[in-house]
Amino acid sequence: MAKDEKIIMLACSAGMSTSMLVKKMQDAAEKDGVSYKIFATSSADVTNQLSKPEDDRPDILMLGPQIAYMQNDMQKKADKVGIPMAMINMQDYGMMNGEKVLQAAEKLLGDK
Amino acid sequence: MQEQKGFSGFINTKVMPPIMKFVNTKGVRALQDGMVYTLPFIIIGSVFLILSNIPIPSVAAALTASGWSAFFSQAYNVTFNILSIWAVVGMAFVYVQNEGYEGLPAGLTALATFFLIQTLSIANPVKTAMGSGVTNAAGKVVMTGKAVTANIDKLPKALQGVMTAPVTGVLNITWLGGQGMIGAIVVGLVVGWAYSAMMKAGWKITLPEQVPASVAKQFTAMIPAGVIITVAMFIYAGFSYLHTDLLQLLYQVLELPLQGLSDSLGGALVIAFAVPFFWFFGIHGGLIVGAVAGAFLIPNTAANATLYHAGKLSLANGAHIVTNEFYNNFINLTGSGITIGLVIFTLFAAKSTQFKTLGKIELVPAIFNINEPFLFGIPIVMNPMLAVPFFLVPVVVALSTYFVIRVGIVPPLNGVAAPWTTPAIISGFLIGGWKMAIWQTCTLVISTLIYWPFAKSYDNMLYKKEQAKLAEDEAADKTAADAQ
Repeated sequence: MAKDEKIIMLACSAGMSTSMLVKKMQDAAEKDGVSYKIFATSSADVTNQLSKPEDDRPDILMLGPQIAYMQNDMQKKADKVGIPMAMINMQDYGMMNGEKVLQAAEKLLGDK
Repeated sequence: MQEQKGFSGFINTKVMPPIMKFVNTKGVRALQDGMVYTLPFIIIGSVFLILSNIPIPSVAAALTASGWSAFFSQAYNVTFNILSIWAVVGMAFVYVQNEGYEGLPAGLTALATFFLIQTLSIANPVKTAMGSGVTNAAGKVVMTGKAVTANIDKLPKALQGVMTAPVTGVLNITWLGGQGMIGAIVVGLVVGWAYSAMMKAGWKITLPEQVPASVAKQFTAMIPAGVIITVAMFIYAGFSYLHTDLLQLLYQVLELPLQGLSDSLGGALVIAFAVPFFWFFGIHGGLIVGAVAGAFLIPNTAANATLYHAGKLSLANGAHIVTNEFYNNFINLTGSGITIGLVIFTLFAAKSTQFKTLGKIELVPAIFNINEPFLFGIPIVMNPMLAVPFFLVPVVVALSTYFVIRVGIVPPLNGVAAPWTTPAIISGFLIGGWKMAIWQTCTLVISTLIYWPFAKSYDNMLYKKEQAKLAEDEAADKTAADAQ
């Protein structure tokens, strides 16, 4: 069964600042007339999210720049379930540029 | 600028990798993510701690008289006051789960081990009274220790023995709170490691495939848990011969010195400096420093909460100055680097579009102590022009906050934990009363004063750049128009 919407997961330390970015990305998606399920979570929760059954599992994982030091570890977790992962550009993150980050997410989804 | 690059290059290639390697070790990750499980209980417990100690005397007296104070205490006791239980389960759980095995059996094994290495008895209250006397509800000594002893001495020998023997068959709640924290960390991580290692080595009971999965699951933990508990029992026995237990030893040898270190001025300054240091290189300083320092600062908080609960909160009674709230609600107030000063600057004086735009984005998050937009957008990360205030403000705030509590201008933090997202001033009120709220306001002013001149010169530079670019664009437009 195909999922209705692609799921985009963002992760930062506690999922707080990233949830602001989620809102901006949703606005950007709405403007483009596309629909994704976008959500933010804490780095500690990523394992849980990735171990969900395939229908609920995120399709891509994007990391906030502040947890770049976990990149290798996260990459392994993402590879294990075969989903693409990328870092969010620092400047786009800081400016909360939903459009740019959404573009990056779409590109990543395309790679899948 | 070239030199700056050389220096940060040095930091990024030589200093950061070993630190990051340490931070990414399984143990530190489990410590950090496992400790998260204690937070809801600390915060829920804090609410009941406040309710059982309402700072208005008439209300407090009424609550005590009606018996509700004791009910609130009960709720505090089984949440915040036994936080080492949540920690030990959480850490072993996370450790084993990160290794790809089911975490809960390991968490429970760690809990059993944690209980196993402590002496399950408490000192007889009569014996305690023989030392410190009998106090009434108001905390006044109504019978001295000497008088108690004299009375006990009149009793037959056999009865004396019963009345002074330790009470057995109980868990000593003292060791389940802050005092047991280092023990909980050691047990949680060691059990997590040992459990995973045994699973990896295939030390498990494998049942035939016909056995339902849920039944088979119960047997998976049997061997690792059995081995761990047997080893722990021998450790307990060994210490028992020495008339102590491992938990007490860890408390004396590790926790007390480390708590003392983190509670010193030097400790506070190192912590305050480390947060912006990591952030400057784009690494989440609050998270990393919090994970390591929290292991000692949370017991400090718990110790203060115990004193506050007993109505004996003062430095003379051993209250700590640097607690987890000192970290959350002072050093990281309004976000790492205490960047509220920058927000205020952007609101009133910024000229450049970049500052103005980010000011709008950052205003609300700053209230909830989130400042990633500034860190990455202004940016502060790797920006030498704002490095001085970014490093200086947390250090100055830590120094001055330590000082005002030390000399008694502001009472010590009461051990109540507010979520780190609680807005400034409100959090100050919760964690230390109205004086703390006023002091918190002062730290916001300190931040503004220090950031202002640096922000102004950086803003000017950005503004000039923007103007130059605008003029360039205009000139280009004009040339284009002329050409037509």
